Amino acid sequence: MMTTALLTLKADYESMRAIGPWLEEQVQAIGADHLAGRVSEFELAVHELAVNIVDHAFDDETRAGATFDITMHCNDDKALVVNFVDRGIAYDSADKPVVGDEPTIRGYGLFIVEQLATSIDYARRDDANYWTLVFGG
Amino acid sequence: MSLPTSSFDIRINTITIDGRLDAMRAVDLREEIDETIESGVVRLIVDLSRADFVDSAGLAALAKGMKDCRGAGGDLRVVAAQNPDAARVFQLTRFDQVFRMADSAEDLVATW
Repeated sequence: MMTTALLTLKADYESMRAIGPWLEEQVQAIGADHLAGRVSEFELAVHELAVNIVDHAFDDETRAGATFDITMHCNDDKALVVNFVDRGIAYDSADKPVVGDEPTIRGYGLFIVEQLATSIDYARRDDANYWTLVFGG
Repeated sequence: MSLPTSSFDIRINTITIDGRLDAMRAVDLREEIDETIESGVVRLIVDLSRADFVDSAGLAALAKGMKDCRGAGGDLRVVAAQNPDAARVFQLTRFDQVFRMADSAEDLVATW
């Protein structure tokens, strides 16, 4: 039986600090003991995507009181699958910065996620944003 | 015959980050850097040796600080994080090649 862990976060920076302890606590609970040594990698990727949601899925009017969900489970290939669902503004890939050697001031978040995750997927359905990160086992 | 000599004192401020340099803390760091530059000190060291987590917002605060310091004729240099979890973001983004970094503030001061 697949076990899924759920974390609901308020859309503010302070709430992002719950991600690390949640991953630490739940990775073994969902049967991903073999990935326990990589929790700090997962934390950085999950944190960066969550901050991206806080920054871009909500504006000053909608951010107050807004929440979004993160769930994770271990799939049949023993990979860690982390899903994000928010009901904010649709993601616009045109916002994604070009990352080069020059020190771009903001926007490295998704670049970092791409470096750490095996795959990153995005979909917009029923007025909600669905992100999925997979970390290979 | 003695030759005329001059000496110059260079002021360098150090900001130490304990624990997390994340999106929340980055706001404070940006303010601290701005205030330091406004006070006339444009040579800054940010000491991350005791940091245990750095994210892209923290990196952005450092990068903006470096740009502002250099624009004012100084520099912002970084004492490298000893914790690999905090150092990871620099390696992933190759910002460890952008900042002047060392393992101690003394090493950075010695080469200023």
